[in-house]
Amino acid sequence: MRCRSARKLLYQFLDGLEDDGKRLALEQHLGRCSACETLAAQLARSLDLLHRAPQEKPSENFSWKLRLRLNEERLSSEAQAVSQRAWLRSWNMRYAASAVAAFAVILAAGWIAYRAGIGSLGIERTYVGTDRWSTDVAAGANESIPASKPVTGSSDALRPVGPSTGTGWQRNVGLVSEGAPGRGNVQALPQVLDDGSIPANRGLDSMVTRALEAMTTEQKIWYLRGNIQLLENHLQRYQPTEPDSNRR
Amino acid sequence: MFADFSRDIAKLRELTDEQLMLRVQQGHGASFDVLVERYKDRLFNYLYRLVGDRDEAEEIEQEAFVKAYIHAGKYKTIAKFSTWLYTIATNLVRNRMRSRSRAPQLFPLWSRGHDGEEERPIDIVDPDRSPEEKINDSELREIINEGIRRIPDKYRMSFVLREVDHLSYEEIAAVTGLKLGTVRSRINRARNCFRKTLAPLIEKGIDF
Repeated sequence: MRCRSARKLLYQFLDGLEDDGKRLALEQHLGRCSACETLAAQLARSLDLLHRAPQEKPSENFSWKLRLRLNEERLSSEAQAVSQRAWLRSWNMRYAASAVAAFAVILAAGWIAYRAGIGSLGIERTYVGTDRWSTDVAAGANESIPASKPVTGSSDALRPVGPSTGTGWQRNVGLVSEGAPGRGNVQALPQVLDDGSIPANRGLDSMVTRALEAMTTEQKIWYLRGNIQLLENHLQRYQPTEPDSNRR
Repeated sequence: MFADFSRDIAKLRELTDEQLMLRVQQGHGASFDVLVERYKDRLFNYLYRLVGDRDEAEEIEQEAFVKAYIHAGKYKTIAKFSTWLYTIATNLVRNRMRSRSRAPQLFPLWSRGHDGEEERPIDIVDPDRSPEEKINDSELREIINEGIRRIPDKYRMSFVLREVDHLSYEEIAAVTGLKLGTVRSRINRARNCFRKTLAPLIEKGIDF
């Protein structure tokens, strides 16, 4: 065995290697090599001294000092946690307030857009009425308005052009919601002209038929009652006698 | 009431480190006190051997325990508590060594061993002293301190963990973050360095 291998083995034995064969080989080498034998002796002795050296201990009040320090840390971390929670709460409040404000703004914008009319949102609405009627009313011709071909246009074209009689385009939008324009369902309803007549329209008839078929009995009753009411309103508005008496 | 408290502490002392740490994680402060009592001497001895200054060793130890307490939630039972605690302490020592290497030397005793210093004979023991005169504890302490001080910094940590705290190579590798082979070679180099420092005394045959 060479010195290098012997020293390597020596360290392994210091770490608790248990191998009788290797131990015998090392002992034989140490018996032959005085340098390695000295080294082994010094190593064993120095480490033995280190292991025998008295253990160093902290000061007696170390535990108390540590306990005080831990309490300080505990208190400061609790205070920090409280302030973090408070910040989080205030942040939550701010966040909630912002969310509510944003929601309110969206609602308001939606309402404004809704009030402005569906046409501005890109939805076409059918205007059921007569351009002739507008002209006639403007000219003060309040005779019975003949049925004519209805015109279709966007909401911009539906602005009341006649005198402020409280009717305007609203009265002609359909049978379901006379006073609430822009509900979006007028196209599916039969057209009622200014004189209250419904022009023949096969396409519309079939649509109404389909819509009626899809309705429950209660819905049908409600729908027909509404229409009857609207027709009555039309008839009252366009009584041919009233304009004549005014003229005189 | 005091009897109840003592009984509780006695029960806690029967628990393993890992069981105590689980209780600490649940906010049981007394369990941490038991861990402190269990490790304060061992950890101090390790730190003192590393830094060579009582006050500084105590300061680092306190810091290590505080960190262990604050970060108890991060401890996972897959690792031994002792390894975890020694890792915290070792990192604190490393940070100090790093900052000290940049700053002027405040603690001359434990400054890094100079090149070739370990070759110089140790001069703690009176050269005219007779071999029969036994060395007392404080002298032995100084000899050991000097022997360790002369070990270069990068070898010292592994050496102390092995020879003073008797940690396994695997544990030392975990604490220092070094590879197993590196740990082994560093410990052997440190052993040889320590041997050289003490060799004159041993050769003189002074009775320890």
